[in-house]
Amino acid sequence: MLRFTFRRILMMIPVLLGVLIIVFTLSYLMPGDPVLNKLGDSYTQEQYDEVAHEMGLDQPYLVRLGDYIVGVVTRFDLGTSYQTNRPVAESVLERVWTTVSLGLLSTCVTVLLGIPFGIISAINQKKAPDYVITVFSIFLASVPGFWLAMMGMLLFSLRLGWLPASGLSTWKHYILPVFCNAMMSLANVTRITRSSMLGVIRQDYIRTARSKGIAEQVIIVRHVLKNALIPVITVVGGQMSMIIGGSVIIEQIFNINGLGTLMVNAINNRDYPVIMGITLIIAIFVSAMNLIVDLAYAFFDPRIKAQFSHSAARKTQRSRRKEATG
Amino acid sequence: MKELEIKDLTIHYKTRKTEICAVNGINLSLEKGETLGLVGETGAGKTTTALGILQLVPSPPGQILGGEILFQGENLLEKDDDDMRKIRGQKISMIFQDPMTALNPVMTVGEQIAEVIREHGICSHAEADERARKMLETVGIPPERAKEYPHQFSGGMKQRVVIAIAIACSPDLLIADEPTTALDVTIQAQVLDMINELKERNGMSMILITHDLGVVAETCDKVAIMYAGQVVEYGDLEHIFEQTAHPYTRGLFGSLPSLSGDEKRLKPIVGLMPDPAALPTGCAFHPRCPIAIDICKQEAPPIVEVAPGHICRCHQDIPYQLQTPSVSGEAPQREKGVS
Amino acid sequence: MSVFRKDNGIRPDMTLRTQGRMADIWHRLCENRLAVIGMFIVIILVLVAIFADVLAPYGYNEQNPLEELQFPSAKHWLGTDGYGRDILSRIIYGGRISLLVSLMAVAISFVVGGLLGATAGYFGGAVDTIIMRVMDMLMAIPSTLLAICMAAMLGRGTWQTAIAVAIGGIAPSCRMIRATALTIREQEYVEAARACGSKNFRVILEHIIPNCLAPIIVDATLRLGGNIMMISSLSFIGLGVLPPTAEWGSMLNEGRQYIRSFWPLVTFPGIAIMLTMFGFNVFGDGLRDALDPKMK
Repeated sequence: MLRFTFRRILMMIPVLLGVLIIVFTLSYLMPGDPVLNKLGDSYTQEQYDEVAHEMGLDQPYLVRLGDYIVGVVTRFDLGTSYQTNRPVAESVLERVWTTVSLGLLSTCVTVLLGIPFGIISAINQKKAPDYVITVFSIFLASVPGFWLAMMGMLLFSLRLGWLPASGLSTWKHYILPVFCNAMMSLANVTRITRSSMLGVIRQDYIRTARSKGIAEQVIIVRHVLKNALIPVITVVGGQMSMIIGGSVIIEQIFNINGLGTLMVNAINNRDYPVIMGITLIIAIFVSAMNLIVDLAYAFFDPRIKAQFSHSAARKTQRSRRKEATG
Repeated sequence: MKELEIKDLTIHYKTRKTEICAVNGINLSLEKGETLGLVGETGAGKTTTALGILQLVPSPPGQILGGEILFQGENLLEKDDDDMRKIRGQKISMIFQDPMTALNPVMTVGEQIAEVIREHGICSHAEADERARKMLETVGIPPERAKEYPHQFSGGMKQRVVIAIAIACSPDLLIADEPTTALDVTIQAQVLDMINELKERNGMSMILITHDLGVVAETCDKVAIMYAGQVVEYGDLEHIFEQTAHPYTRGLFGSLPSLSGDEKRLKPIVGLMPDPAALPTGCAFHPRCPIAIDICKQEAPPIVEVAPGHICRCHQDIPYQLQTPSVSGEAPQREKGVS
Repeated sequence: MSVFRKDNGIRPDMTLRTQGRMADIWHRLCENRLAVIGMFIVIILVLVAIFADVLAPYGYNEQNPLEELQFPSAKHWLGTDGYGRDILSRIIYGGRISLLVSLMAVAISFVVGGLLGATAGYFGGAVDTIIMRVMDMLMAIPSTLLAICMAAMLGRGTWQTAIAVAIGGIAPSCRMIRATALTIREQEYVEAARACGSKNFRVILEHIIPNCLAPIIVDATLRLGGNIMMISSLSFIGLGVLPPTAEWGSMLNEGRQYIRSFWPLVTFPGIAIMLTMFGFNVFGDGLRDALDPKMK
């Protein structure tokens, strides 16, 4: 397991480096001239050159890319905001917790509600709870989070006055953004859990378990769940990335001062270092989450674990060879 | 008292559009310590019968429509879920056809064996683990492999694990559903010998489902030939092999190659198994029967006792010893390893 | 050699089987009530998008300062927006643009992702490793974020939005097609085609891509719905298509400033997005079940 973890962490490094290059290239190609943004309408060529040099924009692409990568890796220097002249790392780190906490809470809601709903639905297949849950999940999987957020705000904040409409100061402020952001993923996880459970229940080894005389509830918990949750784990990983992406937009609606707001602001002002910094931070977060998902996957599925542990791999090979030769 | 007696068991699979008549009123019986061979083509209802005994017919769509299954004098069909659970695994257990899919991939094999021992409350937790290791040893697997997962075992080894699970609680009746079909030919004999040995040692009764007549000749005391959800012929091994009564059974023997005989070609049964959703009227075998007469198309054949304990479902009075395949004892060697 | 290649007995047989299968698939699809509903929604959407000029009671940019922010009435069934434009008409025209851009994005991501995936799966080795590592990098950035970055880089407009939305779809479709290509590569008819001297590129185009069609169709249907949400998300934060083009997301964005007093503008475009996504999702799920009866 340790070996697997280590290898998996090593695999993250080239991916993140690649993300760095992609992000830098994107912002390099972005239209608009930050120098002009800074200088306004009237300037001389000397002034222009001086500012461009100050911002390091007169260097060729590869040099700038190299500088950026070295800066990020050695000093976690994400550059300086064109707009505010503050280090990007500072303003990003200030807000990262807001966005991450929203994302993690939404993921928790997704997992803690989606999986039980899926289980309830599957073990009551073709009965009332199954129909109710299925109809809701099919419906909710088609509702964009940002619209749901506006509808929720319209109903719960403006009409009923139960929940605050903007900001993020008390726990009540979290309810709408978290649930609206989670809803689509929640529906997806419910559906995947259900179909995965139903798939496992049909397997031969469940029949074997029944032939042992084990009670149905025990079969569900001990035999079905562990097998059924393996594919669900992968889906949760994908949903997490969707949730983080969604919170960029949800933050706009509730005026939450997180990375999303910062990002949209930066885009409108062509503040490339900020855009790059945010994308990079989110990519690191998503990669870390994927790492956790993969570890969980290996923890649950001995077949995956075996691929990464030497002795087990040899054993598998041996028994495979035996099978082949008869 | 008979160990197992099945009377008029009928199991159908009902879907919205069709009703598949998998088992149609079969009668079987088995004495303690005996082995019954259940023989028939794919789709004859052998597995459904076995699942019916354990009441594991997948429902929906499966439904047990009628009949009785008397096990040690008690009707299993009248038992509730809890009582039935106590019987499964402890009194009656089953070895499944495909060992590749019969084991839970995310549970160690030791745990899967210990589970059934623990479930029936025979001993403490730690003891159950210890007994699971012993069971592994019994089926010829080093006990230290108890901590491994099914994917680390080969097909034959997996089937040994399945067998260990089935006999872990020393059941009175073991149902083996084509236990060797999915295995390599070389391993088939090993596994079969092992099942037989364990059966003898524990004094179990056994129902062996197979389509391999060679295996039947080697291991069974009684034989039931199934066709389209019915037992068409039932009797002692010698009766079936030497005084074959039903034309279908004779057809089965005709489709086996023989080393001693000088036949140039096999004589396969013409045609295919009928669609179990639309069985022919009268005798289900009549479209393929070489000696069918008019009445076969209209009326279901009666159950005829051609000799004491030898039952045949056929309209025609078949002359006894019409066909003498071989002297008893020769058949097993001849058929060994053929199918 | 060429005669042999034409006549290897694989193609005619395959078309025969395909016809029988198509009827089967259609039959199974029609049995699934939800899928039929989804299919109807999709068909209606496409028809509305095609005949938007005929169906819409007003032009999408027909402003009328005297009638701004009107609640639904007989004259304006769904009310009017801040410029006095008819909301229903703008939703109808918005559907056209959403469907168009979504379709373009799906096409781009499948052409690029499909070719990359088929190449990676077919050749394996270093080519495979390089392509898949690049895809890993793309997957590490949430697709919404990637689309936002791309949209910011490319600027606003139909094509630009389509490309921005498509980028996020390249990696998943590449992975999917690679997986299918890996299994197909080992199959006998591909071996046969290779043994007959077909060029690699030909094998990819003639054998691997057609055999990935079923999963591609399902994925494309589901993606069409997802893309529509992505497009409206972009418009919602001020990227995406250029105003005054009607787009559901930009309508919602406009409606945000009136959310306290005027509900129609934040409600109806959202319902339109929801219905569209619902239609594509349900239809796509139905297609998957119909194409692969084992799953379900």
